[in-house]
Amino acid sequence: MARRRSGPTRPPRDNRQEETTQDTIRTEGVVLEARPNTTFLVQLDAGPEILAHVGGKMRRHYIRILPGDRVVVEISTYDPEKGRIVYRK
Amino acid sequence: MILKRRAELEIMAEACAINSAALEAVEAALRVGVSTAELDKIAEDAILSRGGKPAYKGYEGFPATLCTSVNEVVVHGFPSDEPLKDGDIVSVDIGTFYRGYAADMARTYAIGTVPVETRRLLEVTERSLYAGIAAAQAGARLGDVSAAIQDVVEGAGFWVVREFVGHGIGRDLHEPPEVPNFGRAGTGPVLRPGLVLAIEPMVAQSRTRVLVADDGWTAYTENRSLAAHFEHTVAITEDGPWVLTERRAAGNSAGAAAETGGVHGA
Repeated sequence: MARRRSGPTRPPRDNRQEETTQDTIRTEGVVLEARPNTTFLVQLDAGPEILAHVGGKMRRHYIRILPGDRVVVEISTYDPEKGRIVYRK
Repeated sequence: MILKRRAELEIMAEACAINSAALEAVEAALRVGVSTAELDKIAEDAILSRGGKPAYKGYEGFPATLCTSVNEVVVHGFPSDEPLKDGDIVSVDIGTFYRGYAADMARTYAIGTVPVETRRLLEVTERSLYAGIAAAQAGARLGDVSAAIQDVVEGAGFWVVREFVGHGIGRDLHEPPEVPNFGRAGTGPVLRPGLVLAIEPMVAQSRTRVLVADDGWTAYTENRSLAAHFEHTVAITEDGPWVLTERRAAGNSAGAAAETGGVHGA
């Protein structure tokens, strides 16, 4: 019978840090318009329109965003006008 | 670390012989359609009829004689009424107390026909166990055993489970030291004659964490890759490792490393 290893177990090395950081709020919205420099105007379900860029992880996987897409956005608590698109539905 | 005298090792060898005989009885019953609860009953009867006592039953609340771990379950699965299916793999882990000493061993079996890659997982895991045993020489270090196992497993492209480890064994089922299946050669405590270790590589098909289910025991691979588990109770002696649970050899089997490659059950 195997023994549970004592002490903290190290996670697998390729556990990449999640793009989620502490100071963000996750919400959903619809892309209204593509803006310069791969930013997008997103209409949040909660009402406000914000400017959001595409998360690095999505860029790495070449996930395209088009006006009309439903997306998950992380919004900085420091600047509620700006956000990061982290998922395309 | 608790060192055992020769007389104690002899008793442990008897405990291990009972344990091995019980596992053989289980093996004989392995087939498509048998439930792990039936295997558990066979194991318990086999141990009791030989004067031993199941070591796991009641150990920190474990409910059965066997740990039966099917497919993505790595270790510590509960026996159940679920019949084994063609293509399953099942790890059978069994422990016996006899005259105050513990024996511990495990093997993983293919049920019916399994893919070549699955068969390779079982072969590599068993081979890594024997590599670990071969490294368990008096005067060597614990890290030599760990590294030998890790080399074989990773050389074959599989993943060493980190969350569970082997252990010292004697009057208690689990004694110091912990015996990880990964590590660096030349590190760790020096192995002395009289030390008895349960060496038990647990190997997953691909890199994964291992989680424990809500029942507090069943350990499974997070990515659901198959996992295999082979274990022997091994005494360190001046003449090399003595595989107490080796069923063929009643005496000292320092040459155990040569007898790898074996057949994998049913």
